[in-house]
Amino acid sequence: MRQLTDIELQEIRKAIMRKEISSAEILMEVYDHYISHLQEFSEEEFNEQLFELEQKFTYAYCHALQAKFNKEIRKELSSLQWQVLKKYFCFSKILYVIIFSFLAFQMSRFVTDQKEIAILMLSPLLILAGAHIFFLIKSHFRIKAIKKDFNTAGSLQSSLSYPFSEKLYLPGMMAYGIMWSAEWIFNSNPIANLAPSIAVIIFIILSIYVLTLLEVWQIKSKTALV
Amino acid sequence: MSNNNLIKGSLQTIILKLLEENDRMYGYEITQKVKELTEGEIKITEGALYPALHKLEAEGMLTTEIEQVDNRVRKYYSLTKDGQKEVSAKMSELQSFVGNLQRILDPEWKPGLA
Repeated sequence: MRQLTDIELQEIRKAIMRKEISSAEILMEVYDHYISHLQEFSEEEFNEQLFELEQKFTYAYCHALQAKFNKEIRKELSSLQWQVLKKYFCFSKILYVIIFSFLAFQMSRFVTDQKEIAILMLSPLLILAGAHIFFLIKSHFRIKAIKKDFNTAGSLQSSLSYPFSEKLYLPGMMAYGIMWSAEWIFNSNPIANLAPSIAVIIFIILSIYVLTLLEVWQIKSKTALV
Repeated sequence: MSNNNLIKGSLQTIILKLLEENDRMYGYEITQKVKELTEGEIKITEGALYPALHKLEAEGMLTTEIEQVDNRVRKYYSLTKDGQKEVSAKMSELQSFVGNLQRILDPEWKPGLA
């Protein structure tokens, strides 16, 4: 095994850049594969071996690999969040959920007007908004170094970035729906009396969603580029 | 002779078994290990390896860790608890398949006979 020269490394980066990979994870895995393989060969064999690699990692192959990976990531995030959620209802944690729900219901007794109900319902979204900003900044800095190495300002980003952002936007969309129908819910007589209870249920669901999502992010940030 | 079609069905088992024995490995290392163990008879193609690794990761059989190696990022794969359980299930499934295949190819053959 030998150390590749700067010119050789530059050649590898150029070859990989031509594939227009947008997933940072795939790009780094292909790059590591190229280097690990080419380090096994002498300088004289470099071009021939690089050509061989190019026959295996074609543009079409890399894009198919990337598309499959992005699809798998979505599945993985959902299943991970579901696993985390299930843990909340296991014997050791259920007590915390019950106490939290009890306190939330107690809090709802002090809610009197429509504005307070809206604040109660949507307060978990503030944590989500803060987490999203932190997520974007952290992801940006992790990808920045790779972008610099490959001398690209293009659309390179972690494959987890889009699915994660979608999951972060989802309760926002839900909140919009709630606000849109709030007037109807809280002004129609039979439901108006139940408004604080409905609000607290939405608050608990949103809080659990936010907490599970943050836990998933914490798990994935150890192993991915986010 | 190309035995890629024969390998395809057992690629996941091969990956899981190698990771059971080697704690953690990266993509290229897996291809080289298979080549070394089979003295070059079996070559795992990159075209099949990476999709299989990503699928196993998404199914929760593998976990990954990222490490900085010589100014680049390397992704190591290792077995999760579910993956460890899956290895023995996949191995017995494969062994039973090989046994049945042997019976079809050679009806005289009996398990345990050389």
